[in-house]
Amino acid sequence: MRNNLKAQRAIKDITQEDLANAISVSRQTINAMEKGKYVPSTVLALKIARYFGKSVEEIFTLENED
Amino acid sequence: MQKQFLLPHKYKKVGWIILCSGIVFFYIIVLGTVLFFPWEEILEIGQKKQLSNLGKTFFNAMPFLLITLGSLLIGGMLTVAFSKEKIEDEYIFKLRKSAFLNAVLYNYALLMLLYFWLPNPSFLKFFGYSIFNVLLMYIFDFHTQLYPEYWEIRTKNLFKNAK
Repeated sequence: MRNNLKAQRAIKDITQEDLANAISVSRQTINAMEKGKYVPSTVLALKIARYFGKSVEEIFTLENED
Repeated sequence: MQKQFLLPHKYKKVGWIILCSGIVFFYIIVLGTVLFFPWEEILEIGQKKQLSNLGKTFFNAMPFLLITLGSLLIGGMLTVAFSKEKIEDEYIFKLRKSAFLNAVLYNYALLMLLYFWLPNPSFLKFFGYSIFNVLLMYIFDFHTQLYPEYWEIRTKNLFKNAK
């Protein structure tokens, strides 16, 4: 699964730490998601989408191999 | 996220302090053994060398020292391994799981390898160390995955210095 978290952060001009604090996760979690090392749970994906005011599909997209 | 039994985050520091004091204690025992052990007596059979009073006290206290050492090392590692991070979330839980699986797997792979490779008495000696191995490997694996940037910077610098 791909995501455009980094781009969304850049648009909102916030750091990984800011995003992590806003959705109550660790900075390492945001970093791992941006690097594609970690696929978040549905709850976390929904929290992120709500924070950016977008739908989950606008941030997370499935890849062919998923 | 699944609930798991973990100590509050403040205990992590306590764990590191206990672990470090265990390591210092280990070196004290090694140093004491080097200083007081009658090497000449072992190397040149027949030559008797009396232990000093301090040496005798040290060797009499050895069982107690070893129990203290083991308690400090295991207690320290357990506290570090089972203390919460500042924010304990689903990703950290996933890291804990994978670190634990890796630690058990590496430990038993190492034990199996040594079982076939080493003669029996030496293997049994190593078998005792495996009490510490799982925890040590878990702590190492978990922290290198949790702080990849720090780890990458350290290893990059290491290779740069080696060149």
